Amino acid sequence: MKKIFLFLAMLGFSATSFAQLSDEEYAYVTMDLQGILNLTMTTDPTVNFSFKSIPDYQQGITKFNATKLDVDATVAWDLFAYASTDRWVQVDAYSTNGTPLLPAEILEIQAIRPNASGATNNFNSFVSLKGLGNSQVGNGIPTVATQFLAGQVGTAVNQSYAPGAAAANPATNQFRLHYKIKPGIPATFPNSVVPLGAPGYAQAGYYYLEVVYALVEDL
Amino acid sequence: MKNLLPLFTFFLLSAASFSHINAQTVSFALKTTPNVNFDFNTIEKYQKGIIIPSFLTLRVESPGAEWDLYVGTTTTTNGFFDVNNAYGSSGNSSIPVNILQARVYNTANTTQTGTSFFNLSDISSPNYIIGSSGNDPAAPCGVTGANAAGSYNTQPQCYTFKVDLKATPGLNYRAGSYSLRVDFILMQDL
Repeated sequence: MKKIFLFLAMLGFSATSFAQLSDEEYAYVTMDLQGILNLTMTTDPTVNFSFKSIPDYQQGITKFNATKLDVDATVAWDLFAYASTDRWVQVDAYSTNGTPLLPAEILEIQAIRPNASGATNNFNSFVSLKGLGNSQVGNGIPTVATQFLAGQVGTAVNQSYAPGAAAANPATNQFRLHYKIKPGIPATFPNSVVPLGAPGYAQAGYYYLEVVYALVEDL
Repeated sequence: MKNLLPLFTFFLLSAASFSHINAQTVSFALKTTPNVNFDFNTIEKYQKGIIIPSFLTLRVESPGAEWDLYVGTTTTTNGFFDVNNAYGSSGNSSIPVNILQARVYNTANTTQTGTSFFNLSDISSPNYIIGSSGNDPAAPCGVTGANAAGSYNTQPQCYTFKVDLKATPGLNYRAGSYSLRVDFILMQDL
């Protein structure tokens, strides 16, 4: 009996002595992924239209690829545009007749690629740029009336553009925009969706309009 | 006296066994258990990744025993980062741990993973830097997979490892704060 006990004790000890030795070192890693939205205009932000001849008035002037925009985003995004005012701001008047109150909508814009999200208000063809009131952008928040270059109101699938960089995704993250103004004779701006007030044609002068391109996270 | 002989023999054997165990240890010396943070705040960082060089030094002390060294991650859901906070609602918050890469090297270039970055994986399927899950043949200092008994004190070129870490998340994941633990395991090669 004593021998059996000793044998078992030896066995037990032998098993213990073969336990695998080990040690550990830990490193704790955190990763902060910050949401990034970069909108870069790669062209001159000032686009000048100078109507100096009868053909300029009759045919209008089109500035092809007047504005190029690059979007770099790490979150789903929408891009929309509107005028910061309802009317052009008159800097100088060259005449005393005609109205100085030119609606923002006399400027037409077309994007070279259609909005893939199916927004009803878009720039898929030359269309009047909506003024601040008509675009219904309040405090920078768009509505269904707002014109979208990419995405649209809502967060459902296909209502936004996916994260991506402009260099890697030129088809979706690079935008080229044509501008067009056609005054006509007299300068009634027949393509504008908002008609001029009395007497129905524009006063000769120097005007400017600020166009806002807004890149927002699709929330 | 006859009865005492087996007992005496047992104690002698026990003492011998204990001295044997005490000579065979494997351990990391001078642990630092670092905390590192990858801060992605520009598009360029997202695209090209962030490298934290030499964020950890492993010093192996293994007198009398061959050893294995492997690395893997520990998270709540195996193979995916833990989510601390989400900053938005768009994008996928299930980030695989393999967007994190490590480069483990010593001056004698004995690591099996070489001098390139390799993708990390869950600790249940770790990357072996030295050795394997089986019993490996003894390899002396200077050859790839060197696992012979030794110490960083006498042969730092084979027993001291620097670790670089690289994260390249790309642009498809949800903005937020994520975390995981990287485990470096030193184990006796049996």
